[in-house]
Amino acid sequence: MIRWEMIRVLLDREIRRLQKNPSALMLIGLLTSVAVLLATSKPVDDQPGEKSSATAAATPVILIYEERTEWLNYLQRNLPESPEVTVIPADEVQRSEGGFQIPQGYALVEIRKGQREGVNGFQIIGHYTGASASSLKPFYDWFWPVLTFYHSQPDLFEQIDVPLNPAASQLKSLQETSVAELVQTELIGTMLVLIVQFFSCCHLLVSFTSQDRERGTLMALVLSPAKMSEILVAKFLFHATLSVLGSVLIISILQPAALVRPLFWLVLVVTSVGLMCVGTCISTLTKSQSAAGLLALCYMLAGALLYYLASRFSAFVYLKKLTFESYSFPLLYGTLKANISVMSVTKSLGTMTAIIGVWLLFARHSFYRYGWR
Amino acid sequence: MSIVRRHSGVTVKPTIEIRDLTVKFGSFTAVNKLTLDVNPGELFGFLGPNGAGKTTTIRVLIGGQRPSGGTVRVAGFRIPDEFEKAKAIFGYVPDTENHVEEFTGRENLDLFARLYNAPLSRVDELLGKLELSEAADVAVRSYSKGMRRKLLIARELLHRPRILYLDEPTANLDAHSTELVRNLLRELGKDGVTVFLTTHNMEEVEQICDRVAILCKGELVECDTPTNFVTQNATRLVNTTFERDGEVIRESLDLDLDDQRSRLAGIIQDEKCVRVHSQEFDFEDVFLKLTGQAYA
Repeated sequence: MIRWEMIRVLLDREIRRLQKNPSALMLIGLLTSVAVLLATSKPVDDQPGEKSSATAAATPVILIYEERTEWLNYLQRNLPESPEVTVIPADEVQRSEGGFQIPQGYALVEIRKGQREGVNGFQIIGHYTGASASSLKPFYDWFWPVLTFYHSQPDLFEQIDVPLNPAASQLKSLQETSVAELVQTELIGTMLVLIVQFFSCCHLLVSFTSQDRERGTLMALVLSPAKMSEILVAKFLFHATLSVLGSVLIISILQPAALVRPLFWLVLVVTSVGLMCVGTCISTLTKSQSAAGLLALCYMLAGALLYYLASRFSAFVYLKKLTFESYSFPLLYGTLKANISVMSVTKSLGTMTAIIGVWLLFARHSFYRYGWR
Repeated sequence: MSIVRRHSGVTVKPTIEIRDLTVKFGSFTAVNKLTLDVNPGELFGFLGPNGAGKTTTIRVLIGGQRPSGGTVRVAGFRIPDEFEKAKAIFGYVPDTENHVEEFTGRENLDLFARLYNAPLSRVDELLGKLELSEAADVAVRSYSKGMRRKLLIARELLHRPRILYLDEPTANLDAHSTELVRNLLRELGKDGVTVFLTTHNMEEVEQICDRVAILCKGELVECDTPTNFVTQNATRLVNTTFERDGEVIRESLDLDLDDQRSRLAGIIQDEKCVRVHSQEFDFEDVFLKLTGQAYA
């Protein structure tokens, strides 16, 4: 049985400790400043009162394909409300010498089989209307996250944007696109939130808990009437609150609309719990604060390495799927984009929760067994 | 298993019961089949050279180390199985300070007073008792080693424990603070608190402990009162200095040996004695003798 009076005392200790270690608050402040800077330096067409690029997303798109695949079926099941996307086989679209014949006001996206770095892949050829490919941005804003979420090897896909009239086409690969065009508020928001979460729930928890272990303070707490479960709950509550507050601060600046989506909160809390479990395991299985800090950093880098390897070698894809971060990133991104529903993410959320459940059991066991001893 | 022992003529149930305690770290045996009883209100000294297994034994008693074999009961509770029930009745002063360094002395005590549900007036009472009132509002990181030690003792007395484990309680304390802590321990003993302490200070053992156990290489060498230790193990020596043909000669004689007693009588009678005095034999000598480190 958890005694909340005890939790209150332990939480108070953590808060006062944080107050006396302002570096943690400074980092959250720094990340918030980044969010503010990004929010205030959006392109002119994103400013209120003017027609934004997101509004231009209203350009309806005809998506044509040569061959029906599983991932295409998945895309078709998750079509966005905006822009309007019509999926049809390539042979049903009329052609002329000038190119495809499509209704006025529509953009066209073609899925073709192709080679990518010697491997069979797909080309996503966007035939845009107007002077630039910006009319396709809303489509891609929906297409890539959903595809990345479903497909284990998104690197097999190459985006090529060309004018709707192929005679005037100048192939423009993704590599040639300017960084400013690639910057998306949702992507930046997702990155910043994950940094805040990793910092609050993993790095800071590892730092504080290892320091407690190294100094023997944790032993003093365990020998007091506070139960180990209460100490663990207080730590989790404190770091989860810090993580949620930091994330909410950033999202309220970058994407305030996401705050009313229950899925956003759910993903935020579940990811925080997962990272805290990882942090607890790291801090209980290492001898010193410096070793624990280093291991936390290694965990983050190992995650990045695994993502890279999974994009290159299919054998690593299964390993990647065993990490809860592989689900939390697209889920968080999707909730910020508001283009996924609770129903469509049930499987991912369920898998992620199951993985975190295993981490939780391991964290609890390691904390009880080795946490203060 | 409940053992009833006769101690000082009174039938008492031991507060701490250790039976065949064994602690191994891989192939290294830190404590080997230790059996020991400590009675209520007893000031019990636990002695041994470095690496003898004293701290390991205390860590088992507080539930911080799982024994490899044997059983341990503290106030009737099996350790470590009933650790959660037992921990409310003991206090533990470790050999290294474990304060929240960023907090002041008072904040540290306040935190634990709230955890123990002890009245906050107890904080001031203990700060005063251990002469820390003036430094109460200074961050612990600025404290001297002695002050940290006293703050640690204060913290572990907040909840008025029935058993107090102390790992070298007077290490780093000046003479005045050492006496202060010793008096405090004597008071606790009078109040019925069982005090289990490890120390390297032999004078301390002689002065305050009711009983002493000597541990060497993880094994119990002997357990008795300090007085009995000295009377049973002391070697009665007499150092003599005399002059013969202008030369100064020194001899050390063991009074327990017949021939050396006769030799002493001969020196006093026949030689020109300059000095004859008995050698003081204290607890430290007993300790060194029993732990196999006595001088030849």
